[in-house]
Amino acid sequence: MLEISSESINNVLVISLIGRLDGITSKTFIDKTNEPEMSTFSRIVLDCKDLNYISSEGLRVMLMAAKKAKSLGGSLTLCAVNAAVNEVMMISGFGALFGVHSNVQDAIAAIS
Amino acid sequence: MISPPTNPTSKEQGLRVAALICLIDLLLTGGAAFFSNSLTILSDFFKEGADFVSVLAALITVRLVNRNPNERFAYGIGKLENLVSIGIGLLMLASAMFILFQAIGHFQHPEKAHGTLPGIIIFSCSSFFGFKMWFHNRDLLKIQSSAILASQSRLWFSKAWFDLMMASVLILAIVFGRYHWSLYLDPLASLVGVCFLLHGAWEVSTSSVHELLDASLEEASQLIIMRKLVDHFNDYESVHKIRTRRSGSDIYIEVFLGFDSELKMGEIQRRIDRLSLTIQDAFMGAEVNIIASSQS
Repeated sequence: MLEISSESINNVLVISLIGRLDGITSKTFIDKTNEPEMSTFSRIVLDCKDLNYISSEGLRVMLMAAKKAKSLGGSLTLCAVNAAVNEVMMISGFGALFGVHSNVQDAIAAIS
Repeated sequence: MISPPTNPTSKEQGLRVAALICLIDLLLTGGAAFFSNSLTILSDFFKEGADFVSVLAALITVRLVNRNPNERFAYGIGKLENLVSIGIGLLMLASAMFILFQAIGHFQHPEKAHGTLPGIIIFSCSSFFGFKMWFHNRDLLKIQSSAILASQSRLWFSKAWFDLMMASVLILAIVFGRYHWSLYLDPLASLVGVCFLLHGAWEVSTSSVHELLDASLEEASQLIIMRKLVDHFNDYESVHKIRTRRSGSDIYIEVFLGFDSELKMGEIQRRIDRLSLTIQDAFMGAEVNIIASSQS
């Protein structure tokens, strides 16, 4: 199960992920990030405070979102990642590529 | 680096040694069963028979699998390993059922076991060899992935513990022979053996069935693939799909990528080759296909 909420702060799209991002829920993530009002943002912060689990398929859709942001001249970054998800991020190299910040404010400051 | 290709020679050599040991074990246990009325020894004779057949089948399979692919089986016959592993699982299940029915009979009509000394010696020696083979297979599995080696390793492990327990029970039955309850030690030990066999059969069969059904590689391997894609983040535009599977000890990886439409074919091919080599470095011997794709 994955719940997604979003808000715009200083022209940065902050997406909060709640639950699991895996092969079953990845479509929810894709559909949400493809919505017209969200797909125009070039700077994205993924708030992973309540993200309990991420699989390789979850990483793939996250990679796609990062690619999309890059194509619009922006970037994607992560924040408030718990220990279990952070381990996956580090093993897969996502942490180094996108940056992991302790909270939303730091992430917005880093990406702006 | 994970799952390098299986070294056919060392695998075949290991199976040949295992087949020889199983045959000796089978003959010795058969002799011991002939001179004793012990259910433990008789059931072990049948179990040894199943073990010998399974090792022999594995040896023949490895020889067949090592043949080069032909036009009829262009992907090789790696899955034969999985089919044989399922066969081994079924044999273990049949052995377990046989022992179970015999044990029920002995609970209903308990009788004192005699002539068990040869059995005790054989069980003790067999247990020693079982542990030795298990350690050997475990070392091989650390450097190569194979359904057959994994099933053999589990088989030796359960066999070694089974033999150790049987030897102990037969000794206890002699030591406490004057007590009525000692008559039940023989069938009781057989029931523990049944559990060992059922567990082994389940383990061997489930992993092979998953591979036969083209289950994806385990998550740890998928993360390694993602790591390689992250390392080459600027080489492609999108990741449409990743498909992985095993066939025996062979690994197949397919990555469907989207590329910048402005790029020339030569440049796309160079990027594909780079990424392909990187993934192959992580999965030695794996067949890696990077497919330039416009859709998922």
